[in-house]
Amino acid sequence: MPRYDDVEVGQQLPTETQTIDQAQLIRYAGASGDFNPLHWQEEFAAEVSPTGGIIAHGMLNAGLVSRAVTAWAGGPEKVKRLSTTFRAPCPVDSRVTIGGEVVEMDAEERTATLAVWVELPDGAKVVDRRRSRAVVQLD
Amino acid sequence: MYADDTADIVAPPTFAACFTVIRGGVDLFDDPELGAHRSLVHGSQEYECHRPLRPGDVLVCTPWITDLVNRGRNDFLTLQVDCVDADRGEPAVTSRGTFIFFPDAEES
Repeated sequence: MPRYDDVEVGQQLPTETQTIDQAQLIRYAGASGDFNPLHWQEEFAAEVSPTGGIIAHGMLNAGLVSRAVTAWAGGPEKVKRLSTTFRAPCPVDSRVTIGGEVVEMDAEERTATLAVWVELPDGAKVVDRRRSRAVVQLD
Repeated sequence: MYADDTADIVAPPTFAACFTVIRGGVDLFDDPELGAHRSLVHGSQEYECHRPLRPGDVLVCTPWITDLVNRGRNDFLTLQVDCVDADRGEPAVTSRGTFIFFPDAEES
């Protein structure tokens, strides 16, 4: 896990890329208890979805960010705050890129604040890096 | 996460979604005067983690509607859920979520 003295503004998390398929949305529905048919039923999604089709749970994308930050931080107990703003919808079968960058250090609290994001290949901001932050306790 | 070896397990930060987005959120639909409906998306979500969550924790979770504004055709509702230790009342996790309700297809 990173030590305060080894972290500086501008440091980036390892970038991850993955495809969010229908099976993952169904697994997330089961894990979270969020069975909104927007995430699995085409007929329902056609009526209410901002894209007209099935989209991923916002919290699934928050979870992808959370996993990346937790891995970097060295454990879930190191994450003090996680805020995510969901801007662009994430259609099923999207290829997403998950990333983060240290934007602020607090010497008194010994924490790092990271901008975090999930983006589509066209740059659409599923989790908007301008308004999404993680605060990590460092050693 | 497995239940048979729980000594050192700490919940991931977004695990709290299970009892702050879904359970806290479902309460919204129980109030007919509020008019919450299922044509909605999740706009943002924040977790303030006051302490690690572990298996066996018993939390009391209190949802609050802290803001409700109309912008254009949509309604933006902010839901805060304060989750505290059942024993001592000390804060464990605070959730703040924004939900965007589109015009209800059944009303329009």
